[in-house]
Formats: sequence, structure tokens, C-alpha cells
Amino acid sequence: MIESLLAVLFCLVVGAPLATSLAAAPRRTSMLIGEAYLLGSGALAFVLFAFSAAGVAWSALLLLGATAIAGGIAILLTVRRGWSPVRPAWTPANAIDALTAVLIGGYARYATLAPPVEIDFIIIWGLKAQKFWIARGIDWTFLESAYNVATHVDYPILLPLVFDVHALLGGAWPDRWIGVVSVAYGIAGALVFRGFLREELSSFWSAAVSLATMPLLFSPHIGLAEAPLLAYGTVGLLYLRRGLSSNSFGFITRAAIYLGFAAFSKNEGLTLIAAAAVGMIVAGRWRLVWRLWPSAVVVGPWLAMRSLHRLQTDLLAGGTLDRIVSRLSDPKPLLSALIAVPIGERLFWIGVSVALLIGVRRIAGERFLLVTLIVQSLFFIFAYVVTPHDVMWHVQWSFDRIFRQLMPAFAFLAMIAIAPLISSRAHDQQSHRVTE
Amino acid sequence: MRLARVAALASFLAIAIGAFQTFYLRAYTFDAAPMRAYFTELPYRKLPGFQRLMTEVGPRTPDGARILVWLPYHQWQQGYSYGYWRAKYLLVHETVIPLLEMNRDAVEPTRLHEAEWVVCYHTCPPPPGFVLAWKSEDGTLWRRGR
Repeated sequence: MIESLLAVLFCLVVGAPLATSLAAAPRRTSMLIGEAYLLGSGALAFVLFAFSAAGVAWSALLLLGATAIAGGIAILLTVRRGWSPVRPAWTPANAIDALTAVLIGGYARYATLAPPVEIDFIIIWGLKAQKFWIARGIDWTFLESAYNVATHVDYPILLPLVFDVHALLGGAWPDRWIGVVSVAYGIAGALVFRGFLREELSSFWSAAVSLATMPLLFSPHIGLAEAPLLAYGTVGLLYLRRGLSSNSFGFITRAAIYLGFAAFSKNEGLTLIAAAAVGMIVAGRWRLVWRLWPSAVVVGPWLAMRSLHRLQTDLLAGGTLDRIVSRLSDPKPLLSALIAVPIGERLFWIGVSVALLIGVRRIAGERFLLVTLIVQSLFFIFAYVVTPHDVMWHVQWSFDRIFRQLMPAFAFLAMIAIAPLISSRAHDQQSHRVTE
Repeated sequence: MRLARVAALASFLAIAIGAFQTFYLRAYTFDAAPMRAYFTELPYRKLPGFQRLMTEVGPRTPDGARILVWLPYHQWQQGYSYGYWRAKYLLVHETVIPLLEMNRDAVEPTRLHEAEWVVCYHTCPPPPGFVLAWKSEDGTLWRRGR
């Protein structure tokens, strides 16, 4: 366990100067910690990827050396840019945060009780990470083998690489403690989410909403890439919303980096970038779409290598067009499957719907986030239109899991809708815009 | 306005209750040791002893060995793929070869020629050209003979 916690600490140390050296750095310490983990773990995964692409075998020493150089540059940039945190102000609302911490503790206990049990960990995320760890690099031969198609060789590899960071630094495969990664991504996402809530709500309500939405940001699927996708995707969307509302290129750049890491985590992250671009266009901000270019810098190298090694996605297996025509001409099986599989608790969606109806005028100003979430939902459904698998099986297997990726953002949108009604301290919102 | 505020509070409560997971509170009450044993076996529960067999076979074969996995199920979806994909994780230092054609219910006889070792879950007919290297109550390990 100590090795896994030290690996998380290493991600934080590497990520902190990255978080402060980028434009629009958060001044709230809690947000900075969250972003430090997100950027640090992502950067370390990227470093391992770069070593492999260059044909250099991984070692802990090499990783430490490379990150020391990158960290040094980031610290110099931070000093040059000038960054100072705001002093944390403790309020009675922090008592609610203590309750949130209790829930997180319970999640952490569950996540680290045993090695992950999910079959997708065993045949996809964990298997790839172990193969790479043994090969001390990305095992392209393994990915190209016809025997390994069910491991979804086309899936982005950020998470296996983060597992390998833990293995390299700890000197052994961290089997039982692999769940620490899910916990760390959950905490990181929750800290940043909490910071964004604070910009919209009073201290009491931002703490209360953080407590209520805690389970949405902590994926119950331990060892799967849902955890990083939830964190990167949610943070990316909220930064983009912030950037568009304040016309800040700095926020948009940060958002694009997070969306890039989301795409480096799972294929849904790729469609999330497309959905965000559509959201920007519908919100009348199409001139800013090109500013998402950092996403391409983050995920582009993986896409290039995937294409070079001809790693095919199963959704696009032969006869795609025939399947689309067939499913759309007879949509009943697909619709039946979608209706039959509940996504989370019905009460949650009733609450979100009611909140959006109550705050429909306020939501009119949130076209970007609303449209992005709707378009991404449609991308999810389209995957079932093209799937070569049995529709009912595929929907049952994944619909709830992937749709949960959007639940924190939906909850955030709902809270914005009702913010003026529940949070009477709207006047202090401006003073808490500490990410500027 | 007051009605709207009540509705807003109600919607927040619905979101909170809908999102809440009592499981994360109950997690504090778990008896760790039996729960850990349960979770560790959970992914392999449909093939009792399979996990033990594979973890015992791993150290008995050289790294990179090509091992064919024999299971008493010759239908891909009804049993074989369940063990095959799990064996890949448990025998991660080796190259695991399927007995069946991928995604088909047909034995591929040429696969045996690719293998240096054969691991049989429970019992299997002696693979031609292989000699028994080790056995346990969960299965047998066969090595290619001269």
C-alpha cells in the first residue's frame, strides 16, 4: 500500500508545477491538488507512451529523470508567471466536507479490499498494463495479435500506463492496491468539481451538493477507465463552460488538455471532444472551436500509433452500414433494450429534470453544456446502432456504466438551474471566483 | 417564488437521494478477510479451482512459453471464452493460445502444433506429442515431448 500511495504522491509532485504553470491556474488549494493529480498522472502516462514510441525501455530511473526535467521547466514557468494560492478559509460548511470524506473513506476501503473483480479489468485494462509492465514498454505485438481482439486493442491506454507508473515506481505489480488509482481519480475529480460548485453556490450549498454528488464522481467500476474518464471529462467540460462564459483562452486551453486526457482514457473521450465542439457551435462560439487544439496534441500521438499498428475497433467491424440501416429501419429491439436498462436511480433523473424545468430560463444561457451532454448521449446510443454485438447484450453490459460518465455534469447543470432559488448568498459568488 | 424554492429544494433532495450510495457507509462494517477472499475468487467463480490451477501453472512454465488452454467446454460463448480470457490474465508472463477458433464453436487442431505446453482444467485426453509434467486436483499440465 505504501508504494501505491507514494506513486500517487509522485503524481501530485509532478502535476503541481504543471497545474500552476498553465494559464488560468486555480488559486484554491483544493482545486490545485485535484488538478495536480489529474495533470501529473496524465503527464507520466504520456512520458511512458513517448518512451515506447521512441523505442526506449522503461525504468523507474528514466521516469524520474524525465519528470525532473519537465517539472523543473514547469516550476520556472510558474515563477515567471507568478502564482499565489488563496489562503483556505475554514467555514462551518467544512463539517459537511467531513461527511463527504467519510463516504470517500468507505469507497476507498471497498476499492482496495481486493484486486479488482471487473472482467473488463481482467481482460482489458489490467491485462494490458501487466503485459506492458513485463515488456517494459507498450507491447505492440500483443496488441496486434489476433488472439487478443477481445482485449479491445484499440482502446486508449492512459489507464494501463498509469498502472505501470505505479508498478515501475513500486518495483512490482501492485495487484491488490490497483484500486488506489480509482480512488485518486475520484478525489481529484471531486476536489475540482467542488471548486466549480463554489463559484456558483454558497459555501454551505457547494459543500452539500459535493456530499450529495460524491458517488457520481467515484466510479463503482474499480480498475476500469471510467474513473479517469469521469474526472478528466467532467473537469474538461466545466473548464470549457467557464472559458466560454468568461472569454478566457486560458480556461479553454486547460479544458482542451483535460478533454485530451479523457480521449486518451477511453474512446468515449474522443466523442466527448466532438460533442463539446458541437456544443460550442450551437452556443454560437464556433470561432473558438479551433482552440481545442491541445486535445489533439494529447491524444493525437496515440491515434497515430493506433492507426500505424492497425488496431481496429470492434464497433467498426465489417458491414457497419448494413447494421446501421437494419437497426434504424427496425429500431424496436434497440429502443426496448434502452428502456429495459435503467441508468442510475430514477429519482436522480427526476430531480435533474425538475431542476432543469424550474430553471429553464437560466439554462437557456447554458446551451454549451446542455447541448454537449445531449450530443454525447446520442453518441452513446449511436454506438449501439453500429455495434456488431447483440444489441440487448451490449446495452445491458455497458449503457448504465457509460452513461454514468455524464451524471456529474448533469447534476452540475441542474444545480446551476436552481442555484438562485436555493443559494441565497449569490452576492458572494464573485468573490469566490478564485480560478481567475 | 416560494413554490419554486420548495420545488428546487425537492429536486435537490431527489438528486441527493438518487445519487447516494449507502454501500460506502456499509463498507466500514465489512469483515475484511472473508470479503477479500470472496472478491478474489469472484471473477473465476464459474470455474472452481481455475484460478488456483493457473496461478500454480505460471511458476512451472518459463516466461514467454506458449500454453494452450484446454477446457471441458467446446462452445466459445458457453464456457470456453470465460476461461480463456481469464487465463490470459493469470498466465500473463506466458502466451496463451485458444483451443477453439476465435468466436467459433470449433476446435482448431493446428493450435496444438503452436503450443509448447497444454494446461487442462480438470481432465482432458492426453494431448498427442505431450507428456504429463504436473498434476493437481484442479487439472494437469503437459509439456511437449521429444
